Amino acid sequence: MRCEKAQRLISLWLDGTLGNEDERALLAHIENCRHCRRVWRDWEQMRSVLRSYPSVTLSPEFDRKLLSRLKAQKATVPPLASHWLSHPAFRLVSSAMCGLLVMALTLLMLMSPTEKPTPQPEWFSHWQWHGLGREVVQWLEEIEGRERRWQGAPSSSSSHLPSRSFRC
Amino acid sequence: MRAETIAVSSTTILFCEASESELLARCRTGDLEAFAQLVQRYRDRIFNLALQLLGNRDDAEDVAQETFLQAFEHLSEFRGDAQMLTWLYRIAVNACKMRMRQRKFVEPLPEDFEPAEEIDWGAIEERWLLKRRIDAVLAKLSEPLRLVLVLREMHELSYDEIASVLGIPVGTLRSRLFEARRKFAQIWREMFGDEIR
Repeated sequence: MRCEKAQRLISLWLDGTLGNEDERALLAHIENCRHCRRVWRDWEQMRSVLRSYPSVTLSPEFDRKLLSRLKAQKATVPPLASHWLSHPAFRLVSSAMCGLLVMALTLLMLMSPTEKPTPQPEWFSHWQWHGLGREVVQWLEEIEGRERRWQGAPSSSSSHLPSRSFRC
Repeated sequence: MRAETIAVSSTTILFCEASESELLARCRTGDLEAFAQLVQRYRDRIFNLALQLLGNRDDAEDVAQETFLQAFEHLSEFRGDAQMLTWLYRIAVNACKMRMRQRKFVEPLPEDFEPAEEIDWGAIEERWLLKRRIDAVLAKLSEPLRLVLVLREMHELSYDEIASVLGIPVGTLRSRLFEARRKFAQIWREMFGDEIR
């Protein structure tokens, strides 16, 4: 076994993940290799040194500061609403619904005619509906004009019938 | 008011042995008292992790605060398939990474540090010296190697837990651990002589 491989196995052995067969091979190598024996000893020593690193305890001031920040955070976003809104299921459903809405709007836009019909006045469509043609309209206007002339009425601007330009 | 009482008097909390899942369920309804209990359980571990990774007490405290604030805000995203501590480690490690990229590892004490008179220097000298040596060697390791070594050797997390915290495959973790051990021993020998002790 090469030293590189043996040292990889030492690392696994330290973590307790080395299989029996590999362990036997490693021990056989270690017996004959002074360098790897030293590496093994060094790494074990390193582990005990690192685990003896002094741990530090936080002061109560940390709790007070954190609590006031948490309260401020809680006041900004109501927890129930934030919980509900940030729930993955809600996010998934709302995204899907938004997607569907966009698709529906796109389809509607594609299916609608690109040119809108010229708006017609109400009286025109009414007459069209009843099969009355342009001749009838002209005839009615003539009658109306005649009546105005008889009554001495002013120009046709006050007439309830539409002007000529409207008809075509 | 109740939350404040619980958070401030840690003795009260010691007698409250609610399970983690119970506390989490209460936290999800916005119960600050329950969250304060979770903080009490994990705050020192999170703080020490940040201290070992950053080497600076102020930064480590900031990271610990940030970790718990983020955890409270995103509690609904914690599915409970991992341990709460692993999830907190992940948040803390990400916060540490951000800071590590902003600034270099800072040794906790300047060279001319003089202890206050009330400190029994004789008693703590050996441990303090050891701590400074470890900090100095950790400072020379690259960020990925420092992370795996601290999580495995100082916090004794399992392979699966570290892989989950760092978001890397177990195979990558094995290689990094091997490299980190080799590098740590090499730097130690270069800086302090032959023996690691």
